[in-house]
Amino acid sequence: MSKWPRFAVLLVLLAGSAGAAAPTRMEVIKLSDWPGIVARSQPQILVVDIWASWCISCIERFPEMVAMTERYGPESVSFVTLNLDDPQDAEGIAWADAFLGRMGGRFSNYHLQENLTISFEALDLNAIPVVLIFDGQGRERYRLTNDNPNKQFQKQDIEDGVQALLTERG
Amino acid sequence: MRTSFTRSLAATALIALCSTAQAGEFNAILDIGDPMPAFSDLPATDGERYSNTDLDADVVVLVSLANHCPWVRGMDQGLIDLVASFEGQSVDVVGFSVNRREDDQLPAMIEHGKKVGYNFTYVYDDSQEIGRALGATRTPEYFVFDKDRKLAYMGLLHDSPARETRSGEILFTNGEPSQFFAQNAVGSTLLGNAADPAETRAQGCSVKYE
Repeated sequence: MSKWPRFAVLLVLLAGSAGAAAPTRMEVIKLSDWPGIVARSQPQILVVDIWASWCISCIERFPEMVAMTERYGPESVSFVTLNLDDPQDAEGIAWADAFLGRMGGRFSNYHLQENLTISFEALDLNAIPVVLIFDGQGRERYRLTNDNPNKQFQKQDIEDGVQALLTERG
Repeated sequence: MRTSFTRSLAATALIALCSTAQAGEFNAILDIGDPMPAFSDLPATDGERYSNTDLDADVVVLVSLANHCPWVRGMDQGLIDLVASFEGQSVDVVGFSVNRREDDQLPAMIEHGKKVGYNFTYVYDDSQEIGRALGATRTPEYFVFDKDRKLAYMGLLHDSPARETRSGEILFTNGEPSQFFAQNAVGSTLLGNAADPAETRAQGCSVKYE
């Protein structure tokens, strides 16, 4: 078999990656890495903000998350952002990376390399923004979504979830 | 009396819980087979006002839209093509917007519809009731109702949701679409057959209820 097709594929891959710099503030992870990231936060409570650069609601409410990271010490609560921009969309990923730089806050930032269809299926999501809150044992205790028109989550729901887990821990 | 009232309350709560449990796999309010919610006198981009009773086609498609949403803009052409493909057949298509942000309200809807060439009725519901009653939480999200106005399908347009990028390109999540869920659901429903699949996980922007 000719080596030419393989060479052509390599050229296409190189051309595709040109100008698409890897994000500097977000660690690129696979879905299979996610349970390990959740486990690493133990024994802290973990707040996960799931977002993307195209999600205007996510962008608009992000300053509230930044303020939260300043209210809770790292010894009690960890904060993670999980970005779901499409892996083909270098422009969107670069925007997201720059946005996180502008916003600051005490976050560990991750970008999922699987696309939205796969990520939504795997994480059982219907839409973003979504905030997940895990207890000190790494168990998901709160899943705050906009999936029910009559019960969409508010900033206070995140605070209440964190406070409840802190109280429970004593 | 009090005991009876408490029991009645418990029964009501149980029914409410069961109702939630019986909602769709990806919809907190509505399930396949549920009746189409009524709506009344909603203003449209064509200057008219529409109610559910104005719809007399064999199949009705309600589509949750939002001008600002890059997923809506990414799949506008797909929606226009869907409507065109059923021209001359007994299908009514109504797009609706319920978001209260300025760029999703009627003046912006008129402008957007003209710009992209919407070929269907496009209404605005400031009360957000039509969206709440449908459990519509994403844009775009499709709801197909049969002749008896029972829900036959809800979810995606097709299997490769598309989004407009920041530079205006259309990016398909899963490459070229190969399964046209909404199109097939309308076709099956017109023939009196069940849609298969009857429900898919819509992918798009969140609808903001206030």
